[in-house]
Amino acid sequence: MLKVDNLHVAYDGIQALRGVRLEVPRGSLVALIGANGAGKSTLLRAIAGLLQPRAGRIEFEGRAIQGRPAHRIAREGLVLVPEGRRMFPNLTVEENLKMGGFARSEADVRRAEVEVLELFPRLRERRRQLGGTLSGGEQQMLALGRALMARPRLLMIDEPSLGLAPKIVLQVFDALRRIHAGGLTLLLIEQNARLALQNSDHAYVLETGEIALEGPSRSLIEDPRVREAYLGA
Amino acid sequence: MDLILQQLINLLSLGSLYALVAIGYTLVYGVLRLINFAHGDVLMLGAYLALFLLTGMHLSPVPLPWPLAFAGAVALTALAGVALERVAYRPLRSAPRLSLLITAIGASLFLENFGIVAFGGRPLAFPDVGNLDRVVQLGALSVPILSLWIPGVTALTLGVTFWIVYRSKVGMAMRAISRDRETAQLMGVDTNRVISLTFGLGSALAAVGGIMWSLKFAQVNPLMGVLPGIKAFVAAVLGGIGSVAGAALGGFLLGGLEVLFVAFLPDWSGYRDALAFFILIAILLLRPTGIMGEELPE
Repeated sequence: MLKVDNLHVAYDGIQALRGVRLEVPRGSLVALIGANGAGKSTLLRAIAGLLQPRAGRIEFEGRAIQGRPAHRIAREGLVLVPEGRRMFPNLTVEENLKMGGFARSEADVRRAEVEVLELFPRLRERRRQLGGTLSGGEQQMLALGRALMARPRLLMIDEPSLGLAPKIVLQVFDALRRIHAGGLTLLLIEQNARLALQNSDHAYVLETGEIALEGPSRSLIEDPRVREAYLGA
Repeated sequence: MDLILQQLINLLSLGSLYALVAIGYTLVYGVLRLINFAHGDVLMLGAYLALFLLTGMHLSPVPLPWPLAFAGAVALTALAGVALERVAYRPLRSAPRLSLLITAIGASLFLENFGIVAFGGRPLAFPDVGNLDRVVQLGALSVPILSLWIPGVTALTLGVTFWIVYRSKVGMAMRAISRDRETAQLMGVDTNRVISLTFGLGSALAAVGGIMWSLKFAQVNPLMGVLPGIKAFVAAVLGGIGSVAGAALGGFLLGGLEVLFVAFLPDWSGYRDALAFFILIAILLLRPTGIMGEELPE
């Protein structure tokens, strides 16, 4: 569904990605793990159109999308939940959700809102509140819900566990599993490698801008290199 | 009592003009984090366009009836605002903010001098339309109808603007962009288009203000936008730059302070324009975010 080939990205004079190759098949949940500064966010930002690649190819559903403006890529159904949640603090929860469905028809938005509020009942209670007044966990729910409003076909999520209490992290991953079970293809970045590998089908390990390892998550979790570098065992 | 009523009417009509123009500053600041110093000159452009359409000079082969002329001028000024952003500001979208600010000052100087060259430096008379200088009796007060028209038109215009900003989809996008342009793009928002629309809306409001200003003072000149522009900027800062409701409030507040200043210190009335600058300095020292401005994290 998504194919990244030989992707090179540089910004602020730093070569952040060198020849990254990655594939996300339809219906899969793919995780991308790696240390801070390995280039994980850069990769997702380049796919989403926020960074222009220097070279390489990004293909979504058979069409090359590199170099297209970010809003067009989002409209194609390839949606990024950015790092740090980034909800609009000056908009109400309901308006935040509506922003997610900005490019969709009124009817689509209404239908998606029902589904999202079913998935995250907390958001229903907080509908009229400003986004900025939500707790960290609720904000992550809102960021996910907002992205789902766009009716994505592939959802990319950058560090959903960042800054959240362990209990909340489990709730977020529970929600991700349910979203995935509903048929949505996911590409996930996660600092917590154990959590990422336990919850994904396939995983890539990014090291200083290059894919160092890849494979089924089940086998990566047993891989001595991964265990030593990322699982602390 | 009559004195108070009289001053209240003065306040409403002056405050209205400041409020309309102040909203343009605040809208543009919201989406671009830019003080559009050319905004006052856009007001001037709106006034001249209205005059030309009204009298059949330059733009229109025949004099147009005033409702048509004014509507046409507002629409053309909106387009001019969109063009200004496209030509002067968009190429600098990723440049440092100081470059953008300097460009805005340049755009302002350009428009003023363009006005002098194209329209002539001498003031032109702005005709009275629809007998707006007719005087009505309100109790013991004689009030020119225009002084009632201005707050009326302003209330209507503000109503529409508030609806656009706080209730419509594009207004929601404007507010979203004001906090996080990048994330708005990720939601499928064409931010360039929303920024264009914002300039269009702000410039249309400036044109409405410019037309009413011209009716009030019965003349136009190429530098007529300078002082209202600066004062409306002060009003926007006073209300809290970035907040639309704040800009409207700041406009009426500044208008009120000016009217009171002249009413109670008639000997000092020559300093009425200095008052705005004094207020600006005071706000920047005491409360830079203004009355309704939000604290921004950066």
